[in-house]
Amino acid sequence: MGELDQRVVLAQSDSDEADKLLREYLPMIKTQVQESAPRHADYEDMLSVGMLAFAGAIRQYRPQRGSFIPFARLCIRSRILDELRRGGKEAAVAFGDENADGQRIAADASLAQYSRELERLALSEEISALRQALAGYGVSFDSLAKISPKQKRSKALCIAAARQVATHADMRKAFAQTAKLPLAQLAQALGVSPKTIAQHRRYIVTLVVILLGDYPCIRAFLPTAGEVNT
Amino acid sequence: MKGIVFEVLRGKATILKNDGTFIQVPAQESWQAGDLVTVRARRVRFPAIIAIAASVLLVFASLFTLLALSNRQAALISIDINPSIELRVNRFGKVLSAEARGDEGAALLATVDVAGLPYAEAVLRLMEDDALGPYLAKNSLLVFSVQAGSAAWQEEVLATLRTSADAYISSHHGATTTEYFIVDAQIVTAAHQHGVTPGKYMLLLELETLAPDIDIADYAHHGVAHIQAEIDAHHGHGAASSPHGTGQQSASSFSGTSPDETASPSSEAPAQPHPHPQPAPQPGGGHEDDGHDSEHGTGHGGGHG
Repeated sequence: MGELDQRVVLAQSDSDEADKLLREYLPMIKTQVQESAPRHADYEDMLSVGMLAFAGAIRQYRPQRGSFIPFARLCIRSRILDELRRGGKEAAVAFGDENADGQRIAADASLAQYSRELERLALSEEISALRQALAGYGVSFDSLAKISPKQKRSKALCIAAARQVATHADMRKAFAQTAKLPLAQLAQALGVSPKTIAQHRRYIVTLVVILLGDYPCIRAFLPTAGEVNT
Repeated sequence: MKGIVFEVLRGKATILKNDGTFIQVPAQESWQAGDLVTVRARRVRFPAIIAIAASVLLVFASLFTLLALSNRQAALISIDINPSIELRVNRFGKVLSAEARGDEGAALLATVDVAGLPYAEAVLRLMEDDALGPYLAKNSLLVFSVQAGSAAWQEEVLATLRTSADAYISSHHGATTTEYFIVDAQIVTAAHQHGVTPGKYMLLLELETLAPDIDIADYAHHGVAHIQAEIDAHHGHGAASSPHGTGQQSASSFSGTSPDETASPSSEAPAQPHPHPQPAPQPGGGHEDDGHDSEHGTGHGGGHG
């Protein structure tokens, strides 16, 4: 078993390791997404699907199946084609290229369906855990839509604030101890008024909880490494 | 955009979109927590009241534009026999107002109201009026001038006037001659400065060209037939040889400038200095320094050489 395969096995029980693998193999995921998805498909959507599929591949991987990378590629490709097929028209185009190999299509579809179900279960578990975690901060799922920023600029500010808390040990510690955002520190770091941060407090808290908790699938789905994922 | 269903509650689904924000949308029956679904950006819908208000505003704007166009002068028609009258015509060919130049014209307009009529009908109404009848019966000269914003519009107005006026004159006043001018805004302005209609002003310019030593102001109060007689006299043929008495003749003199030429009418003017704007010759006709053109000549027979 290679070093990577060992890391993947470790990542199955360590979400930090899973995050690291996601970041390290993001270029491979992007390449696989570009190869699998038709040009007219929404790239950001397909990348989200590809990252979820990669996270799912980590969970499903067994060393006896061979190397991880070919397995991950297959998972991503099958998942994207499955998503396109479910989407309708695009699927016909995507699958049209594969008509020569009916067995492969069937295998892809089967694997994708299986992966999708596992993915749904994994996400469902993470969502349940997240619900309980957010309740401790006074945030309910029902309120998430209302507290989400509507403007692009506000959204970017909230994401940056959440990343600040998640990446800086002192802020992370303060947040863990007090269950409150270090408004003054964040305002200073981002160059905005503390009131601005306070205005979006609950949404930022939600992002911080997702970033710091054991939610690898949800994190995988969120904006690519440069944005929310740390 | 893709999203993960977080919760389905009371028919509404809370979804995490892949841009990191949450939305709440009506849930589909098959959705459950953990599903990856496609969410579409909600179309911005204007409230019905805004749509209605916009429609009403549009209607009012259209009406206002229509009203503005209908009240704006698009053409000027002058009629001279002895009374001198000017008709202001809108874009739709309706007479906005009639203005008299002189007491006789004022007396005529006091008995005839042509406002709101199509210009051809208005001209006929004026010619048919008892007040104008005596003038038309005196082997006279009836002069029309047309000024409009575009060449096509001018030609159309002129053609309509010729058709209706000539038909009326030939059937009722066979001894009267008609003459038509196309003029530009500069001619109109100059004519008004002299207190005459553009049609009479064209004749005065012609007379001045033939007899530079005269003062056209002295002739401004004369009838167009008298001015034409002076022109004929200066041509050396005298009024007696004028066809005015030989029967009706539609004599067209396209002496004004076409709209394309109005930008520089003086460029076509005679070389000698002239205190008044000069009408440029119309291609194929119009005033020439070497005498009156053939079109003009047809109206007056041997009256112009």
